[in-house]
Amino acid sequence: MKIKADSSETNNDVINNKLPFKLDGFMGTPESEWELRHVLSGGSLLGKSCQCALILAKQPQELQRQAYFFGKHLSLAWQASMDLEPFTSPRLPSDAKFSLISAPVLFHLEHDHTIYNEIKKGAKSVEDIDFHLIHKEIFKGPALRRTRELQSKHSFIALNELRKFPASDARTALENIILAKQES
Amino acid sequence: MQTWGLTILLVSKMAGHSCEIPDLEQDKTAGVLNSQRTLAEITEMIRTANLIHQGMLNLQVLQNAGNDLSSDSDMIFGNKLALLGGDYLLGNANVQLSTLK
Repeated sequence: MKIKADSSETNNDVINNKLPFKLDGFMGTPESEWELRHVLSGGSLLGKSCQCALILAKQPQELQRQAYFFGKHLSLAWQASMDLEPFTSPRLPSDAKFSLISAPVLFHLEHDHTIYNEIKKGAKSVEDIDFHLIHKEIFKGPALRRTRELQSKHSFIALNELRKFPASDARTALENIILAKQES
Repeated sequence: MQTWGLTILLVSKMAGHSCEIPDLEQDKTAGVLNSQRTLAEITEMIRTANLIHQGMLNLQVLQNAGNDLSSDSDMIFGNKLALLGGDYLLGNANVQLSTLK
């Protein structure tokens, strides 16, 4: 797997988030690939809805952008914490499966390519993959620490965007939600 | 896990209203516009529809990939429910979305 330069800065949504996403140049770097996939699958929903809440209140463009980034990074932080859930204990319940596009798996693949052989068995049927083996390998490697850092990074960005809004009860409530998710 | 609707409401409340506040048709309750409340419902509906669709069962492992089962066996019926239920929620969400602006 070639490691390409981190191209998440060149993604469109920093400039104008109504354009379709660019899809090339992301495979190979676990962090930008994970981010792109999960923004497309759920991050943009929360981000755009937050932006829409401000559009409905007829707020200016700049505030709308802040709301969009808040929603997007909040949902990525949530997703990172959900990705960590199967790995809270070293033992996996007997027939549990976990997402193979989750952050721990991607980080581990970057750390150790050989686990890909195990995943390739799933090309025929997902039942052929030995999830216990993958779980054990990931537990031993650096992937979990990196996923926690990923979660902190996105929570931090979300909090920063949040703090640009004027202080209020609602803002404190949102900050508490983010911090509570961080702790757990 | 399912606190998205709440998040939208909190964001709406936090952002406050602009000076050129819309016509009095949009009456505010608890500091949040009715349209923002609808938006929160819509977001929650889309999210739930996504989760329901993701919950569909993969029948590949059954004999003949489940083709032999009668259409009111549990697995097939459950899959149908998941598919149609998710579609219904998505459809509803879009209808409500069109009434927003």
